[in-house]
Amino acid sequence: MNKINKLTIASLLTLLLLGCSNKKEDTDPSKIDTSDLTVCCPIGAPAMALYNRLFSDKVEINAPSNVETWFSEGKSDIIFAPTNAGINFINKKNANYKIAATVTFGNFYLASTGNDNDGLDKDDYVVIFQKGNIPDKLFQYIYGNDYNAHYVADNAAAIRCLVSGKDESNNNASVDYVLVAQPGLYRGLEKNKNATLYSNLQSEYKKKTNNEEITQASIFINNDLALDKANAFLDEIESDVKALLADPNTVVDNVFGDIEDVQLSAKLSVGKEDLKASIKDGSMGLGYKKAKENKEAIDKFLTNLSLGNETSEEIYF
Amino acid sequence: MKQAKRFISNHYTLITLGILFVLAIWSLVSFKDGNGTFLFPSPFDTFKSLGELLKSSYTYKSIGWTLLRTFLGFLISLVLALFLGLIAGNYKNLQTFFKPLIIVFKAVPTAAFVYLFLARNGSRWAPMYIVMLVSFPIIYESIIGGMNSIEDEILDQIKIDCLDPFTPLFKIKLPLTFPFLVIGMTSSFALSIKTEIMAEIITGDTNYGLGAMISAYRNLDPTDLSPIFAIALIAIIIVLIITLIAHLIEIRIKRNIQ
Repeated sequence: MNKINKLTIASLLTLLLLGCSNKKEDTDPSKIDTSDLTVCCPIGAPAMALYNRLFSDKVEINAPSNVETWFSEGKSDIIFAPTNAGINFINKKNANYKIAATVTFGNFYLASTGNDNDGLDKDDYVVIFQKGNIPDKLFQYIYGNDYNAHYVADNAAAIRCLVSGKDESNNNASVDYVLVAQPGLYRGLEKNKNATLYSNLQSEYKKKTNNEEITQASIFINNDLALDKANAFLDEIESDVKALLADPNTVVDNVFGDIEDVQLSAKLSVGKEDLKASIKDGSMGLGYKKAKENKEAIDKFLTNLSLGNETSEEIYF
Repeated sequence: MKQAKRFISNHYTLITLGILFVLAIWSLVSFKDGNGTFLFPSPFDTFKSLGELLKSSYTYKSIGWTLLRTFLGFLISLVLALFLGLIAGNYKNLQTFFKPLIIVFKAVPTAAFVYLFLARNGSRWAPMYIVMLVSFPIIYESIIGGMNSIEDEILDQIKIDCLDPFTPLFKIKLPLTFPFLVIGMTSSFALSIKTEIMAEIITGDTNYGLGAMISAYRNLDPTDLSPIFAIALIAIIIVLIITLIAHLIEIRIKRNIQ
């Protein structure tokens, strides 16, 4: 009887220990399954951080105009969005999200069409896309607001201006400079042999702000999402971004080997070769920084570009 | 001389001449605009792009998804329009009652509803609901038109001969309405395909669909419009095939009625 009791106690203790070790495994972020998390992200540069789950059913990559709907619905576990837009939805419309990390640090460039050879002057015809949004505000912050600026709807329209040297929306007026974003900058420079890169707006911004970064797009986490799952997701994204930055050729070939360029372009606005090149030279602005540790840069980005006010600690994950 | 006249007035000759006329105008416009594939790609560039597109599996998956959403939206509209159209066609008061609703369906700007469906149903299925919105009033009105065109003599005969309302509805009125329904279906299907592609672009879906393909090619190279023209050509070919099938069905139905 005594022997049986001892055996029972020993078995129970073993089971208990096994149970404890299992529990420990569950809290390890690398063991938590995050594939069921619903993620929304606008097309283009921010979506690059999601390259490992780009074609998952749980991930919606869509036009940037949908960002407002995503925040107001609050259905998604995670939203990738322009930093200013996300923070404004949290502050002004009480969106149930917190900012966790920044993944895009600016991909804006001013290119010359070749029609002007004496540098950017006030009377030069400058084409900018997305009036009132980050590209426009960034240009105004760096160069001032008294330029002969003309606006087009999106980056694709700006690239057409760079290639033709004309503004189709304004009776084919001669264009001198075009502000373009990187998914497409290479294509523009390749098609117009007279076009040149005039300035890197990220570097110009750094010069003007004592080395601050453009915290262009960030990850927002739903407040209802379990903490361990959110952390596991963020860890995954961080290691994915680091892997892509370290060896873009291998990662792009491994992940998108069977994917056609056009299919990739639907999500990222760029084909495989341009993607590799732009990651390699850092022109896509891809990176990963925890938002809480980068609060000062986020605040300066918002206030410098008149995109919002300084943020409170509460909105940080 | 007579043979030449017959050749010119031949149905197929006229269609071939019509196609050549379209190609000539197209070539002329693209030649005038110049600039290769930047502004207005020539038929040659477009057909070259079409050849490339047809080698890609993404194209076939996109055609499949566009057709699936269009057919589903169209089918739901057809069932609803048949149900309401047959009832309203039978009872004039009900026809008048439904009039404001149909006017709303016809007049409402489609784009206004895109965002509603986008929020409620997501970008993958929102275009299907837009197709329903556009095709429903056309099919409904074609049924009503068919029902109203039934001669009074036949209606009087039905009143005398048939006691229940369902037998004449399905065995006499519906077959007589069929040619109108087929015409309504053909015209609304062509419109449905166009609407589906437009809605895919507006909703910004990045998966499969001809509209998603147009956006993807525009993102990939905004300076080359030839793939976009080629996608438009695919849509035209699909509509032509479906119109041809509908035409053959119509001929068969007419023969059966005679």
